[in-house]
Amino acid sequence: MAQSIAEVLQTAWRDFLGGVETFLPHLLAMLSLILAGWLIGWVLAFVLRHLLRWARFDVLADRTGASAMLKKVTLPSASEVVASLVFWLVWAAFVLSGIGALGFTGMETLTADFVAFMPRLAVGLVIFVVGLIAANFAWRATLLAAVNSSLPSARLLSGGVRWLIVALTVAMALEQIGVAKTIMLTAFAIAFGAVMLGVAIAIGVGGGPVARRLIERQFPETPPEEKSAPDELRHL
Amino acid sequence: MPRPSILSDELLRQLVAVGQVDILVGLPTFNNAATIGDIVKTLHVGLAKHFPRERTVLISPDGGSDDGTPDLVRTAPLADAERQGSTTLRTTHRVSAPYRGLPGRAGGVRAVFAAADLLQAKAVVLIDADLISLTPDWVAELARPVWKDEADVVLPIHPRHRFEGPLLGQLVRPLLGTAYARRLHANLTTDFGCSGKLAARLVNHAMWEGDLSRPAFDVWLVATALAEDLRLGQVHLGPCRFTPRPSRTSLPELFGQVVGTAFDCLDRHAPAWCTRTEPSEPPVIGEPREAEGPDVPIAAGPLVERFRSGVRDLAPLLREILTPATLERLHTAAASEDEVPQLPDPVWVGAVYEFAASAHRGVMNREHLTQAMVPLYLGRTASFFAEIASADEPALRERITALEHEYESRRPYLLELWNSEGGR
Repeated sequence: MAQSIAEVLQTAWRDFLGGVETFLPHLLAMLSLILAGWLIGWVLAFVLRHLLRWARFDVLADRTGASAMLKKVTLPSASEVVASLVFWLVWAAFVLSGIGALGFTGMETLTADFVAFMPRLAVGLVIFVVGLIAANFAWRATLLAAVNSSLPSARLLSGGVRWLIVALTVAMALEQIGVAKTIMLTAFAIAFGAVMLGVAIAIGVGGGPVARRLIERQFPETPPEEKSAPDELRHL
Repeated sequence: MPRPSILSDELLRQLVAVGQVDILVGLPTFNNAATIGDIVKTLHVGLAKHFPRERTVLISPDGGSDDGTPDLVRTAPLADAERQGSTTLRTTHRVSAPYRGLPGRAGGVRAVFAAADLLQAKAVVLIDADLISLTPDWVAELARPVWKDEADVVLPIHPRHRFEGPLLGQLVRPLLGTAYARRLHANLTTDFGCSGKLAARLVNHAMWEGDLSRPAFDVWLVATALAEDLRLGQVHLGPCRFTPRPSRTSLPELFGQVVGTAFDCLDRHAPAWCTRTEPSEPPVIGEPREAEGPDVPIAAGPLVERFRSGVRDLAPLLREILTPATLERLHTAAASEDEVPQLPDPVWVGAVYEFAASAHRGVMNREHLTQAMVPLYLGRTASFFAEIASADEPALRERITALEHEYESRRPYLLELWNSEGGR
């Protein structure tokens, strides 16, 4: 009896050690891949950060208003954000490869899905960045046009234009990435439609006289007899 | 590939028939039937009276008039003109034909320059076809310094009322004059004189390829003359009155054209003006004249309202352009309870220089930057007009001189901002 127990224990431990002996190289391979990925990601981010600073990427981000938007959401500078993004993407790829090296079934599919996801993520990020730049440009242009035309609530109007474009951009980016497509599309359509309906009702019912005055000012039937002071001035 | 000429075949044919000339008067036209006859006669009288021995030509490149302006130029009767002028030894040729390219002042002037190059004119005078206050002596006043080889460019000084031309007097002229270290008194108008050599050199300048509106062209010409250290002359002429035409240019657009061009020129010519130190004054010829008509004050209320709302609503943009100190002073002025807020010279000049430096650094789209300046300009205009409303002429001149001195004394600040990386 004691001998059979001993034999079972020996076999079990032998099998276990055999398993560990088989698994350990895979684990070491995974750890080495993760470490190498971290190093490579760090180096790439370091090089990219300096390259972007040399190319005055932050100045371009300032000019397009992207820096201001990043500051608002307490993110670092544009070049730092891009470098960090590259670091995390590269390291994530190595981590997945490392996990694949463990030999678990199903990991190949996960790795393949991640690789297929990368281009969609990249395009989605590009859409988001371009959309943010366009939103900021539109905000600034609307603000200046409204202020110089003496339109009321210039900041509200321009802010509304910006956030409308940002909402549209986020919806487009998420659809491109493929995150909760149906929900995003439905939510966006409902929200956008509700906002437009509310604006239409507000203008049609509540702001009718105001809208009429604004339109009449822009398209007078007869030339105005008196010009406003800035128009009367001979500036040159 | 050779650049296509701006001179149309018809214009070229007429010019070749004229041959070499001494004085060329350019009169770009576009639907000027109402005034062109009188202007042509006035020019002929002037040429006959002051340049009887010289070979002269009147060239009128037309931008596609549909009211018969070119025919009126060619057929304007000279009988009255000859009675008023001296007997000439030579005939003043008249050429009128369309030019190639988009109609507009820039295209017309370029055609005149191309014609001057072709005819090897010694002196070129540009006259605006809407200038109804033109007198026969103007051509001589603008052409003589060039004809005598005393100047390369002659700019007119027209008398203005105290409430006219604030964009020029408060911003463009002192900014360009101070930056380029030349004390300017000339107006930015559409009439000037220049040498034929300069006209020939400017025909193929890259600036023509851009979108040069009428006022922007005048800024560019003055800035180019200053940058290249050409011999500039300033001559007192009579009052300047134009045919009233409906203006389609809003103030923000005008700002973009004029002030934007001024900032562009400062950028392009930075190597030339940044190294200059001592200002000089181009010679002024003639005596100041009186402005015509009454001095009509402008209501300050709308200007002040736009200043206050502009400083408040554009604060996020102004923070990117101006220093905190300047912005604080503007907020203080906008928040004051005075009927007309005071915007003293140091604040205004500081703001102008900070805008110029921000345009140079490209902190934002240049058109947006110049539009952001409009409310500040209106506030400054209201403040300045309130100050000088009841001032007599000597006090007014003193006040303008004080502003010019403020621009000059703060020139090192402009250079410091211009050459700094972060700027603010």
